[in-house]
Amino acid sequence: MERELLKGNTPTLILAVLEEGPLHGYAIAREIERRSDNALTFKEGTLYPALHTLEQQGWVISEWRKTAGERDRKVYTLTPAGRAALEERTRRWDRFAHAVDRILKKQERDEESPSLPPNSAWLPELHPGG
Amino acid sequence: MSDQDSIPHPEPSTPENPPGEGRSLADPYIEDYLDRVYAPLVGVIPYTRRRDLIDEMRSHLYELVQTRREEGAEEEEALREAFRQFGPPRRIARAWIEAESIPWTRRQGWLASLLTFGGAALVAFLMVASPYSGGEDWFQRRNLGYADIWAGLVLPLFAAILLGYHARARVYLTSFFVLSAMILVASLLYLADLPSGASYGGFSSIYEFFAVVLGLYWILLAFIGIGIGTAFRRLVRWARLTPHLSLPYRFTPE
Repeated sequence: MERELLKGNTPTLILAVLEEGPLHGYAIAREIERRSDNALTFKEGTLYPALHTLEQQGWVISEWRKTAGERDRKVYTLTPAGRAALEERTRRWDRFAHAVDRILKKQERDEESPSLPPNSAWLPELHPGG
Repeated sequence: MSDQDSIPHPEPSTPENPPGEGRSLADPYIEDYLDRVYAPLVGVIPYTRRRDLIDEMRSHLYELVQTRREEGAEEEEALREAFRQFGPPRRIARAWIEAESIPWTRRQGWLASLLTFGGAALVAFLMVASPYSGGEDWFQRRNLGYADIWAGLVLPLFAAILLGYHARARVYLTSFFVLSAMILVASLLYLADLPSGASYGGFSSIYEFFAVVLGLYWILLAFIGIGIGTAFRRLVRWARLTPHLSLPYRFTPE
């Protein structure tokens, strides 16, 4: 399940990392790794097609930058449109995560909606005593 | 292979820095790896962009290897880890091809799905709702043509095989289920009006039974057809001119 979730959300993660400032591909991979405390691993080569798609959508721009003594690097920068897209996706993710939390965690449900009926309301014969 | 302390750093080819002139020796294993990403993209991505993205990946790979070396790994181990971390070259190439061609493939697939299954669904529905069948036993009908059988029963199988061969089956399986459900519901609703004949295992007429069987048959058909199509596609890919590229990538230092 983790891999499927990650595959769909890779562009969003890239946008979030670039919000702090422009980076090149290798650094984006390291930053995702660092921020997730090594919990999220993925094949780093798949970053580049995702970056290209983001560029096509106008959410990032790229440019080659020469660094003194080092190899050239292609650096990606977040655009204002990209920033807006990131906000929208963050909102959507929050809604989704919150909804799943409510289903999975009884404590959260009880805090937010104390009047929710228990399972026995649907099938009283299976849950004697409530 | 090369100096013990340094990994060669080739200069990436940018428009200001064309390859061939004054470029230091590139690591042959990294170049081989990149070739495997590069090859499937020929004809899919134009040359300049292809060269650019290979340069980018080369840079990334070298940084990965360098980090490993700084952590104290041997050259071979560093390369192996870098390749493992970067991902199998085929998967990366496929990700690139998808990034290039997704809209067209999906649109093409939806159209193909609609035409083939939609067309066959229409014909099958007409079979069931045909004016010939009013009140008459299905087996008594002599004027059931081979065209009806061909269109309603065999053609959807071919359509499923084609879709399985060309595209990712999951999306089109969904559309198939939708159409099957539609024809099932439509048939049942229509047949609810027909005069009830002899009882056939709980169904008020042979036509109702037939409609349900047809719907179930089509669902089974989807699995079979798409499975055949996918297997066939794998067979064709395996038999192509570059069989070594179909094999999984193994880093084998000499």
